[in-house]
Amino acid sequence: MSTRVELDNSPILLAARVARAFGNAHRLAYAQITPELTIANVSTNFHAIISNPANADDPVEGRRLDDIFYEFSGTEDTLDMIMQGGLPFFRLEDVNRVRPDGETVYLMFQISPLSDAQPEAGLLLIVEDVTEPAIMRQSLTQERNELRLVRNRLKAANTDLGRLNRLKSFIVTMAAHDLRSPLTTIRSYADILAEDLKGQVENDYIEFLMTIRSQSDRLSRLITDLLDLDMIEQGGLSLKPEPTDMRDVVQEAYDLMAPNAVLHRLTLTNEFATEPVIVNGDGQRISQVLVNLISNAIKYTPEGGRVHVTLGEKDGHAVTTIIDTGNGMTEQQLHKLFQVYYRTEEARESSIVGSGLGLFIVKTLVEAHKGYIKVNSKRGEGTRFAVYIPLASESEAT
Amino acid sequence: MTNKILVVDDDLVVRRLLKVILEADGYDVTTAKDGAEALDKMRESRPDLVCCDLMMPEIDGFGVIEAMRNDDNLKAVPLIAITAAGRNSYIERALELGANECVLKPFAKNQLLSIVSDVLHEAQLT
Repeated sequence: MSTRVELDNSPILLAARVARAFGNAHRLAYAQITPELTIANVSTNFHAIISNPANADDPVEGRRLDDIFYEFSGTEDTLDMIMQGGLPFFRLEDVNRVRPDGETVYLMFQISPLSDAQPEAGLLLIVEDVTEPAIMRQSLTQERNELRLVRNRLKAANTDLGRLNRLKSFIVTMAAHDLRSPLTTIRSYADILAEDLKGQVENDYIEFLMTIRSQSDRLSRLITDLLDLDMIEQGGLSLKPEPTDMRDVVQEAYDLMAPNAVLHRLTLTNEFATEPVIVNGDGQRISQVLVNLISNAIKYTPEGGRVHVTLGEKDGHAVTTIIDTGNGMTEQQLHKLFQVYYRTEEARESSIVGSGLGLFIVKTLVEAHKGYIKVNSKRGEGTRFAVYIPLASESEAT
Repeated sequence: MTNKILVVDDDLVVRRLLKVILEADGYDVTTAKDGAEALDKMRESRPDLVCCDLMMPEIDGFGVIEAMRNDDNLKAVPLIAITAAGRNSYIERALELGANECVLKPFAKNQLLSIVSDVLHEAQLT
């Protein structure tokens, strides 16, 4: 039989009932401490909460407080002050005990006067099992540490990426430099030979030399594309806008590509505005856009086809169109056309060389001019690219 | 009178190419393989024009331009910077330092010849 006495009106029983009412009985236990600091009455869950395996066979009642909880050693003066009303309460936090099953429980002890009116009634000890919040706090701390670790790793990875990016930039720039010198030589000697040998050798040979020349031009455009892509990625795309007559720009791109059309046995035709078409733009960059689009049209149009280039004005924009009689594209291909590194399946499987960079750069350059590109394409019929760049008069007005 | 042009490039093949192109157009061409040799040669015999690569070991093209512009005897000698650099900043820097023109590699033969003749013409007017 239990030696515990629970009087109906004892404050301990009252407190235990309150705890039960609030659903806290599993984590709140109570004990009455005599003025001599021995444990008197305890609530029925006391042994369970403090993880005393002995319970009934080894009752805590009648034992000294600091005998059961060594944490109270040396607190006599403090406890005396509480009894005299000099302190409202005394608290011990994060006391831990290992349960018989090996789990650690965390307890919080709070001691306050049992009765304000009667110091001789002794003290009320409330023991709260704070294992759940403690574990939560612990795991929060752990998570915080892990997050800190992850953040540090991310920071380091970011630094590495920045370094790699700068290295990539450096390599692209260096490679471009080292590729351009030999290209200059190849192109120029092909030029010199074609000029000097004209009329002295078969026309086929002159055409071979022109092919060497146009292919080195293409390689050099690819190098420019790589440098431009790098520049765009580094956020350093810079334009030198000035009033520019689009007729000059389109004509320049057209003339540059005309020999290419001959090589591909295509008809290249044009229809340019007769009045000036002035935009506020970087002529070199716009020319680059048009060369890219015309060169694409030539590349992807079979022999005997036609590429038609026009320049006009519409809705406050200079409009350059490049229309080809090539194979056209599907909806799906059109959708991805301007993505970086995108190449259509046919382009990849055919012998047509390309990097998938050109149209991405074209789009970026046109957008940098506050313009846009429209593409219409039909399988088997051909493709029409239209480049819209705001007229200088318009952009000044806005 | 034949115009004397000094070609400076660390790449032998490019040096030869420039010599072939310029000599075919009637110029008297000497070459130097780096900035130091170029400065020595132009101090020995003042050229009418210098065609100079920008990226070279030791004294690079920028160093050549600076040295020329700080040399009373070479101050007025026009210079065309020839570069394969992909950065606009190189070109801008060369022009700021006192290059008269910049030609990007790869260049077309006729483009180079017309720039050479323009720069020489301008220099002889002033």
